[in-house]
Amino acid sequence: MRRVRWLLIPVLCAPSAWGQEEDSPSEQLKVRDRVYTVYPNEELRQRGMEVPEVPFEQNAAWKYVEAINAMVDPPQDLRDAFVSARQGNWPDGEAGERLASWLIDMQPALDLFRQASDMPDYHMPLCRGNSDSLIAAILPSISEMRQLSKSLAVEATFLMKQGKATDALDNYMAVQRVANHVARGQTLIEGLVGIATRNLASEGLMRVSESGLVDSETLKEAIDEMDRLAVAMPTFEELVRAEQRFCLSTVDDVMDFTGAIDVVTGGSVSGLEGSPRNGWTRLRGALMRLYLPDRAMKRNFNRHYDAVVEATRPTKAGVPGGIIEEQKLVEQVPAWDIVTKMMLPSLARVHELTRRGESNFIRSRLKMATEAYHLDHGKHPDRLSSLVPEYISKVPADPMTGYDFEYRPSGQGKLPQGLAIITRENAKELRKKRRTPEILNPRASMWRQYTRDFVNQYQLTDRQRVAAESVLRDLEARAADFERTHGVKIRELMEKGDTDAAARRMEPIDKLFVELKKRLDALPTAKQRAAVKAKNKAGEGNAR
Amino acid sequence: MRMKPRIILQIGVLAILGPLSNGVVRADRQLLEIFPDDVGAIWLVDHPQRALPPTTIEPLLKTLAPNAHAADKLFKAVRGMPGGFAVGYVPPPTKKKRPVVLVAAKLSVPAKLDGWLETSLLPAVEAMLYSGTGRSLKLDKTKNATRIITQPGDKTVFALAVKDKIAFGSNKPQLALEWLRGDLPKKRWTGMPGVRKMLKQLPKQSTMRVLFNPKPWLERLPKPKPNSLEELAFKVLAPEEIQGGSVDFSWKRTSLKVLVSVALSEECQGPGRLLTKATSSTRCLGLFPNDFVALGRLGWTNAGSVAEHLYALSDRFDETISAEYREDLASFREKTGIGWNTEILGHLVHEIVMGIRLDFSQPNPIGWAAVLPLDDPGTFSLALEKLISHFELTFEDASLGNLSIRTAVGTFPFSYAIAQDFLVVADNPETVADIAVKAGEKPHDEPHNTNMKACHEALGTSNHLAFMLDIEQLREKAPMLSMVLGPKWAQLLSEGSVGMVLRAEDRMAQLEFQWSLVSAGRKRRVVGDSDAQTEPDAIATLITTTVETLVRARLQAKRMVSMHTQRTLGQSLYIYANKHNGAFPESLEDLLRALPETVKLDMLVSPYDGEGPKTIADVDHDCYLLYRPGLTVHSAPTEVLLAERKLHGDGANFLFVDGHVEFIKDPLASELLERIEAGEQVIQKQ
Repeated sequence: MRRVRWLLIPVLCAPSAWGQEEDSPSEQLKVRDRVYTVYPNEELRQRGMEVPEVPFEQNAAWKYVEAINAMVDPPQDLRDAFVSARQGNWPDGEAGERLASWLIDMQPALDLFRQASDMPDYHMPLCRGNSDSLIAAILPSISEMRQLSKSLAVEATFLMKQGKATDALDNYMAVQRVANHVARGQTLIEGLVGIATRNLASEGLMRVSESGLVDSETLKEAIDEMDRLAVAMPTFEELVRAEQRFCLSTVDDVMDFTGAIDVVTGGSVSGLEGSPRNGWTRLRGALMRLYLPDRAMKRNFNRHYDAVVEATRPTKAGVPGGIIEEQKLVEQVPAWDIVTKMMLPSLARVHELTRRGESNFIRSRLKMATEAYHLDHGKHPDRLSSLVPEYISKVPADPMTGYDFEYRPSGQGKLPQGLAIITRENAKELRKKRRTPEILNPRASMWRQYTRDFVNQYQLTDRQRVAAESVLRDLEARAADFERTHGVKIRELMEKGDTDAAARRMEPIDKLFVELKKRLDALPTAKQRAAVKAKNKAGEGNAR
Repeated sequence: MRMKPRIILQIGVLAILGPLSNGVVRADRQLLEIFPDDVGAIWLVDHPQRALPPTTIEPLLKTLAPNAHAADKLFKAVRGMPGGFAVGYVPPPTKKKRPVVLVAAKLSVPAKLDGWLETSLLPAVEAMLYSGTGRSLKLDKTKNATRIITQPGDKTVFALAVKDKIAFGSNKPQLALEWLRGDLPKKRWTGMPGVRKMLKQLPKQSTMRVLFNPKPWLERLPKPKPNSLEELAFKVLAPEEIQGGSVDFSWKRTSLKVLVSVALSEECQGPGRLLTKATSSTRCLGLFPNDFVALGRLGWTNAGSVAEHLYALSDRFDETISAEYREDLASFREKTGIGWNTEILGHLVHEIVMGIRLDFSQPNPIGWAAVLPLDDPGTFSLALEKLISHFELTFEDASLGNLSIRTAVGTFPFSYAIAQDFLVVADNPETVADIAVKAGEKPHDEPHNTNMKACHEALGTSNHLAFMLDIEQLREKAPMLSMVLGPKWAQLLSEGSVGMVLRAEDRMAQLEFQWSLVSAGRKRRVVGDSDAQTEPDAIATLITTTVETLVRARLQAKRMVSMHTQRTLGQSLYIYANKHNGAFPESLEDLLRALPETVKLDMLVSPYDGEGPKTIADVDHDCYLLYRPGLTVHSAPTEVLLAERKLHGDGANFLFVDGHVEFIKDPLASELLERIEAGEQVIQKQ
């Protein structure tokens, strides 16, 4: 059996960690045989980046790099087997045996990786690319950390096969912690990798909890830890602000001639790659700053990111925000500022991924709680609110839709529905069910109030109540579609004060309310109708 | 068939101009008074015979006309235009509407109008447009107006009326009658602000003139979206500050001048404000040695003022930019102890003159130099030393007599010296020395180079911006240009000079361009001819060469489109063959029916004339391509599979069995086409 020895000790690791005395770490990072130059923290701070001060021995990053350098790549021909195992299906036959053998080779790396995930603090340094420009910065560890997370998931599947579900749960919890670490990086790309890693963990935790092989106490402990992790996970706003700091720094690079060329060519065309920092380059930089509107460009960047953050904030009514028309936000950047326009990333997709990741995280937590409930009570809870406060402190709304989760308990021996992991495929359906955007809000809340009153009035059963909610959601989804196509025009008319024309344009929505009433009227039984009728009659009598 | 606006314009022009008297008639203010304020452009020709001499017009018409007969007819019609005229163009309010063309002319002998129309103009137009179509034009004369009517169809395409020896016509017939009744124009273009002043300031003599009225064009432009590039362009360029414009063309046998004039409003906030200061004459053109092929100058108060002007323009869209610039200037002074604008740029006064020299025997064949006059060389030197010391800029020093030349180290190569009252900068110390030694000699106010000197004088020595190129020297220094340009252009670009200046005076900005085809003090020789023979009319050669180049480029573009179509068809033929045991279809019709999604009927429209088959059944008869049936993918790769039915220019495109498309020149192209028509079994390119 081939064992990888720990020869590839990262150069970055301060000698003190290896028994030598030195205050500051070296400025080089060795990742899998390649040596990278690290941006000193002070330089990054001068560039406006937020760099945490993490003592060397508490920084999980170095342990991660050790793990990376101890990695053994899976054999190329086991790629399909690896993917299958990562998704929870251990491959049969020779592929399974070879994959298990590979896992043994990987143990040192996986052990280090798990140790790193347990450490409280994390700061992975940025490495220089082929120029001083920050836009050329590289993250040599990021893809390797993702690979190690997947390897932990593969090992979890192997452990599940062996009936060691608690160990598998530990693996997935380690992946959750890794996700939190990675997402706390200085760049948006680290945030996105963090979200993807979190989805991997959420998916795995669902499977482990559904197996029924983990006791309820362990599940409850895991839920508690997830509560703590949820607080520490960067929000969309924090991700956007990290990207904002990064972009502002690249404006400074543009002011430097070498940097400006490198932004476009990666240093390959300019021939100025690594041009010495001499008096001429300093003079050039000073004149660039004198004549080019760098501060105005930075202002434009800041305005754009502020607008994005503002658009994604939930309303007072609790409706989740969203970037519906990103192009319009980009158009707010002055036309002369072509550089800023070119450098703005698309954040609508990032926002969508953040919502999906957050929803999956909550779904896995709720799933674990329902399974713990099942173990304790012999059945799944009838409603999620039954989990409070013993299993969870409160039932949050689904970040994906803004509504309650569509939890539906199933019959004996069947798993409850409505908490499935969101994938690329089913995300579209959920997006359709989102809470209605702003201009429909008054109507939407009225519909919701009407539905609530209707449920109470007829004393609908749980099943009828779910059906009523479903009708409401269907109509709200259709209203949201209408909003997407006609909203801008209606808003314009309202702003102009032409309320009559706006009302005419909104007639289809009012027709939807008629449909809502009609469909709700079909839900009560004859007995429930009679009861309401009798009550109404009595009420009329009393009034007389 | 709807008449194209260009053709209507031609008819209109010719309709009016034929019966003009034999004497010279000036298209003067009287004609311009006829045009309404919504006219977008007016084309004025004072002396058609001078503007359109036979030597110029004959080769031009031969290039443009579809055949020799049409060219001949058109030539006679054009040569029958003895006086001045004005043609106005009113842009359509929307894209769907037609533009209105207005023609006005002074007639010495009005009675000759109908005769010229009938015997010269209409036959020329028919030869140009209706040859072989069975269509024609006829005149319909009533008491008040003369109409030009298409046959068959009886549609009036132009109407004109005559009053007081003035003819006026339009493609919108009622306008001619309105003018006759005195109802047109309701508002005169010449009455608009600034127009009369502009007309007064324009040169008295001009062979051909086009006047512009920006108002209707601007009115018809869609309102730019807020914060768009279009809106930014409007803010920066401030087109509303232009009251009118003109382009004057003047040519002699060996020179061409184009003068673009723009009348600016009284208060300019856009680029016009940059031109409000007085023009200046050069102080340093004479410092450049003879062998500089190009010289240019930019006049300024001082170098710092240029940035000030540009930031003033930026105030039109974002005032924070210039505020930030001023803050940065203060910050620069604070950090370096040097006032960049006041102590460095502020001393670079009057102008910057730059020159380019070529020497392909050197490692860096393109050399450059710049000279900047200094108002106080001593103070400037001190500030420069301070700057050099602050940034630790490194130089190598060399001395030439009293002159100290410094060459930069560690950046792009340049050298400089302060000689007398000039800062001399160049790409190498030798050039700096060449220029600096002349600083002690005077005067420096005109170029040494004879061609550039003549150009400088012809364009006027006082300006804001000037550029001159000695073509003769360029040809000598870079002989490879002749090979790149081809023989005709090489002949035109064998000697002479090109120059351009920008000046402004009394709210009138002028950009003047001059191309002299003959070197100063010499007669032009035809390349390859004996010394005794002189070129009869170089400008005619220039015009015809330009037109020929454009026509050839257009043909080349169409040829490329056809090549692409044939290549696509070749791929489709292979798709068909793969489904039919390697056999290509029996006809193009079969191909279209078998692959309706891949091969569409509109693909077979000729890019040369726009004609094509109307239905799939017509494909093999009406398509501009000729298909050879009976071949398979196993046929010889060099077998012709498809070809253009007839030659276009000097050859045709052919598709071969191996899928490649090739342009084959005559006579081989004709031979191959004849053999395809004859149905020969084997047709391969030898």
